[in-house]
Amino acid sequence: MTIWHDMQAAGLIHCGCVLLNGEVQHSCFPAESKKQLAVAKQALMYVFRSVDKSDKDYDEAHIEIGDALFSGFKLDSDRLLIFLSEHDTNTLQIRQFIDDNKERFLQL
Amino acid sequence: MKDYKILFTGSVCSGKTTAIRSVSDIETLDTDAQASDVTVRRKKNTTIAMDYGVLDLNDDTRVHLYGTPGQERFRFMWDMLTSEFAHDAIGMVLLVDNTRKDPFRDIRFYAKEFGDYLRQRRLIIAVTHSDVEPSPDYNRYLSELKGLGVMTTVMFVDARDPRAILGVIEELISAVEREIDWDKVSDRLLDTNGFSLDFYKPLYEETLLDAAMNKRGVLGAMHLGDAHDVLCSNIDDASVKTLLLNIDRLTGAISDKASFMGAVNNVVLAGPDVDTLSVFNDQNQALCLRSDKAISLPVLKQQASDLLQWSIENDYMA
Repeated sequence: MTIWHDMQAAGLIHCGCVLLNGEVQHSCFPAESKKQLAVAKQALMYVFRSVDKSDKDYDEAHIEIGDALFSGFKLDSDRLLIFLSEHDTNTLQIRQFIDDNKERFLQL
Repeated sequence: MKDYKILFTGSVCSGKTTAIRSVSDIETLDTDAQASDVTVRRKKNTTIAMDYGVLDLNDDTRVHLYGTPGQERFRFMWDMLTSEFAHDAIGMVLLVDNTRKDPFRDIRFYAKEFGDYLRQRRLIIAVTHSDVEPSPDYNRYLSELKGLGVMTTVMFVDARDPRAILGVIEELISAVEREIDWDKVSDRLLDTNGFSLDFYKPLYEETLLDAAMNKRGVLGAMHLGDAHDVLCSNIDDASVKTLLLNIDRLTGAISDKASFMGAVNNVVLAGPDVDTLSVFNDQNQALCLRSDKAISLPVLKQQASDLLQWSIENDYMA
């Protein structure tokens, strides 16, 4: 079982990926979701670039588009976690899962 | 004695309480309380449980009139009314406030919420406040409803006028009761209940920012227009303002370039030691909020949705 499976089994996400310096390092986005991943990646990277410029300490962003929710969580200064889930997903549970499994994500 | 029941529903301030009161032969039971959230922008009191009135059509026939609370947070009362008090109602009247920014959104919402209930009974759409806002007109309603696949009767009414509300009731009851002298009932109601323009006074008291600041946990707000321009703001921190404006521009870009996914509804930024920032889009405007980090995302979304729903009218009234 991968960490993605664990999250999917818990009903938290459809799919996710880890970006390292803006490049996909590990992903469970299926091929048919390539476009969604591209949108999520560009949008969330833009958000966090804006956050960096503002010198504010935000490490979590959620973008609700249609019935989908793109979430981005900064793991560290180089790594960004991206998830695609239902628009009404409990983001606190995702946050909790990441906090509980941070080492596993960093090892991906 | 033959008893019929009719359920009235609709958004806050659509005129449910007024409609029932205007035709009831008894002192109506209404459970108004001072509004504590966004509805205060529209009126000071809002129904929290239900409205109830009785109309005698003749010596043998009467109609029990039930009204739901308008606010979604009293949804449990909708369930109670449809499954208990008015489970055997002959029909439902959906009052639609024509001054709402998108009255058809209300129709879609209530048609979905009461979908099961409406499978077994007639629906009448009664449009109110068309004296304040005549558009959309009758033909537009027919056209939109056809598009929604909702085949029903649309009536433009003044909820304060017993004759108008009686017309709605007649539309539902006359199919099963042919012996009612509706003119006689109408004359009697005018004599006893009258038609007072003071009956109902919507109050437009607060600006969008004031209403936002009255929400739990909201620390600052900014209202953006169609061209991403700042209509009003009480967020002083320049870097926060810039960040919110950047995110608002992003939502426009995503909606343009990734239209296959649908529109961007909202963007939320959070962190362990910072206030939550959010941008909520609604057609041609956006509301940016700076909120206490303890406020949950669902609560934030509900607050923003309520605020945006009223904002255009408020700007107009201001």
